[in-house]
Amino acid sequence: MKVEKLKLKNLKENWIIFLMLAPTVAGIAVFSYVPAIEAVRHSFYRWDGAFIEEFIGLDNFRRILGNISIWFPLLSGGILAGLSALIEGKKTIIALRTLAVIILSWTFFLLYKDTKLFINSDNGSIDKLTLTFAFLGLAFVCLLFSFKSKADKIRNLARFGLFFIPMMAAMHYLIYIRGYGDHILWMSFNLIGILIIANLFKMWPAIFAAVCIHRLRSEKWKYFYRVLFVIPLIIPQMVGLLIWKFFYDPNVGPINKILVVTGIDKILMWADKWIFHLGVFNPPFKPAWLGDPSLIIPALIFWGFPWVGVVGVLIYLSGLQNISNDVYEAAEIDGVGWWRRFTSIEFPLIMTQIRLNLVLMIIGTFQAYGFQLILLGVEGGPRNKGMTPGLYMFFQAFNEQKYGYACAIGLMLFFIILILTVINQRYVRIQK
Amino acid sequence: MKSFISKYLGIAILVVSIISTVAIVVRNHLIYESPDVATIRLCHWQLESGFREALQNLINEYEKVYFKKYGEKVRIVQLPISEKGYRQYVNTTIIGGTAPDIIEKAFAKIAEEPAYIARFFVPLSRYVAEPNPYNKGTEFEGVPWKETFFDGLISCYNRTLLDYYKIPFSMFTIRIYYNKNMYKKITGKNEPPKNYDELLAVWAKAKEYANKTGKPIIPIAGSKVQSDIFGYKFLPTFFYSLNRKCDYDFNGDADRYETWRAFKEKKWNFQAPQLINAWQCLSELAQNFQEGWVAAQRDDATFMFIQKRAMMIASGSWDASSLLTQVGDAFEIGIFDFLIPTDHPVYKKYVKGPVSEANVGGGIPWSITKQSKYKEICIDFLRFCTTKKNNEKFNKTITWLPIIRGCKLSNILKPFKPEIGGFIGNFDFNISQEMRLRSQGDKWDLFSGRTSPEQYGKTLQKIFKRTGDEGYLDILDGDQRNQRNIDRVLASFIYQWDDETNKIKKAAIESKLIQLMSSAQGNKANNFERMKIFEKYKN
Repeated sequence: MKVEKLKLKNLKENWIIFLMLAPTVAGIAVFSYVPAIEAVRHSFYRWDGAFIEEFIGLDNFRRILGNISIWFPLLSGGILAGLSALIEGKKTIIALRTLAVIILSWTFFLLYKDTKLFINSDNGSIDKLTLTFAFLGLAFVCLLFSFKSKADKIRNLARFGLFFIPMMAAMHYLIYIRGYGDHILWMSFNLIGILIIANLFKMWPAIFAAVCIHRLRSEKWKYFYRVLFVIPLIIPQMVGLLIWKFFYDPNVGPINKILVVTGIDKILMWADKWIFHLGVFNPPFKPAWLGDPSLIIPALIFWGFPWVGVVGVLIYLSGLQNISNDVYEAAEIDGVGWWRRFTSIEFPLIMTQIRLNLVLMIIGTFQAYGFQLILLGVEGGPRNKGMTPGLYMFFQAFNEQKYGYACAIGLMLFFIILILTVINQRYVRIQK
Repeated sequence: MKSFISKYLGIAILVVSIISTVAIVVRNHLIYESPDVATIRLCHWQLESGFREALQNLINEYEKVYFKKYGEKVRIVQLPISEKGYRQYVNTTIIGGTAPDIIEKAFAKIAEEPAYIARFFVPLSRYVAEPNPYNKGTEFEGVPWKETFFDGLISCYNRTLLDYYKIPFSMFTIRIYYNKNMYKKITGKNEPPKNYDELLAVWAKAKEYANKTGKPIIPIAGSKVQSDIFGYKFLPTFFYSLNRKCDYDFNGDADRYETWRAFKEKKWNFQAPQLINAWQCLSELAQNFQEGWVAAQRDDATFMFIQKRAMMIASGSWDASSLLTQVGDAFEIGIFDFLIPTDHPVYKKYVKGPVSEANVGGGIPWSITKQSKYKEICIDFLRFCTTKKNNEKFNKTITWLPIIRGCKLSNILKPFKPEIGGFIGNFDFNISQEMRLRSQGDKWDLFSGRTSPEQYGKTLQKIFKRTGDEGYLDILDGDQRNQRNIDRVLASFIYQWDDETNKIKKAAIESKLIQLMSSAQGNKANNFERMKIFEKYKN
């Protein structure tokens, strides 16, 4: 059957389809796109959500970033370099990279001027720049590899690093050494970085659980486990949060009790005393997981143990179910073992689902604020260790009545997530 | 048949759910939005035991009285919101134009800052200057409504907007509750400690008792709220001398812009002994809370006390009812005031004396939103609730302190009677939002003993220096915004719409100002200042 393309020209014939689509399109437009567009507009306004609505240009972003005259060329240079790695066409790539090199060179000239000022100032110290120079040294190594390495993969990686690492160096310098922009917001990105890395590891138990369910021979048991993983979906997330809050209670929570019963407490106390010197694990063993700034991040990472997220498992299961039996039969004839079956068949064939989960995980981590708000309060707990960009956005909007600034933070988050998603789409390859 | 059921069961459940939801919405609409019934919505965050019942009793009675008086039906609906979500609820409903008629003012900047108050809430000067009609035949007949309140409603007067915007139902003071039975078992005494050192000694004994017996008992239950309660009681007395140095406008408070200016003039810094010792003292007190108290909520601390796992708890009169009801006959509760370290060898040098409760304000402050269709009924309802009889009844039910003069106190509340003698010394250095966030975030570390007061001061000084100027500009901006709103209020009094000519009419400034400032002019002590403003605007 020939599939006819839907066009406005043939509206008369297909009006019923457009009519059926209209409510959904209208709903999405009204409830998703209009607020998003309004948020973008308001990020250029001083807006208190109520009656103050004053156009202030880039002031909100200036407040986030600090010296915008350095940030702007740095970011635009980085974006051009990033684009050059994503698009096809040799000429366009050369043009983009040349432009990126010129802009980034200009940025580094500005940074050099700024650094001279900084070192001559009262607070300036060359020691603080060590990491920045280390990044620049790494960039130089990348430069060498980008020309000399014969292996394609290493050369490409070095070229990517050539743009990425100097940008990291510049960002590190601007944010942590010069203290430009909104200090607490930048600090909150540290936590996001740590949580994303931790979440990359926390994805595995769900993958393994899905594979185990998929390999069950009995259909009944398969069905039973699928249902078992659907039931938790109906439990409100708040209940989960409160249960975990109870787990972390230093006096009556089961985590401390389990650690004491299993004797792990002694190992932790020994390690703290002789290796880490944090002073968090002392006798009597009652660590305050959500009350001690040194333990908040480990507590946030450990949350949800054994990390078999129900949505994740169901998504991976759907991918696994699509694998044809022929593939397994062929593997069996070839004498493939259980581990090889996972590494050579199942894992590559569920990369679509893994990629989807990666995107969802990155978005979820960047937007997270509810868990921190409920367990640690709007200030993100002791020393603001649990502060995330999402929670900070919430704080700006509802505590400080700075909705415009919160929108600007939101817009920035949007771009960061977009860039990470594009990188994810580009570099997490699917091999069918 | 089986396949039919399995095929359509899902759709059937969906249809039934939708129909029942629609039915509930229609039913509620018919009940609450019926044209012959004036429905007033009232939101609050008081989820303490007995509050909703006490308020509902008043509501039920008022609905009957109103019908009897006017022959019309009125329905008042309570909307209890949890403390965590209250700020967001108030914010979004006010901005979205769907705010309840009466709001308990708390937490949200939109309900606290003058610019927003002027825009969204009904000014009450005119009403509070008139007698409360429900006081007819009582000792308060003919007395202006505001004069029937314990503090003459001074705590509800907005000094920036020169108007009253809220009506309170109760007042609150804070004390330390203790388990008398446990206290006697541990110390062998009946009487509570008499000074700061004795209090610390009692707590040390409790710790010793717990270690010896292996019972999980802690000296005093803690949470962020409890540590803040100690802060309210201890910090002002330590900060008093700093307050005197920085109070440029002589209003009794060292506000954040004043402390910022004084800092710039090197009158103080974050290593000042008053600050260091105050933080040291609070840290010393908080060491007696349970492990991990920073992650505990107010309710967790209350449970610890009720479950006999803590000998004491610092809380306010608002918890008296909950604690008494929940403890029941399990043990006897005693109450005593905070013990300020006036005779401590180190702290006495910086401590001025006890903190005065003369400025204790009205609690549960209700404001009427301008979005309300029934402003007059809302005012009538608030008047009904604040007669001596009704206020006493309401507060007796929940065991709170009544706000109306002459109301009798329950026996248990006698220790909560405000102590007038003492000092008041606010010292606010949270000049910028980063200061607000960091001083709060790092405070938990300080009180837990993980950061020294000197280190805490060093961190704050760094942020204060870096963000102070920006914070000051923010305050200036806010002030300008408030001023614009005050001018608008004044302009709307002077320039009014004339229905006859369909044009804006300018009224005589003098008569309008007299009308606007009548209540302030009545106060002879303020007359001089008021008249200066009056003259300025008249010209």
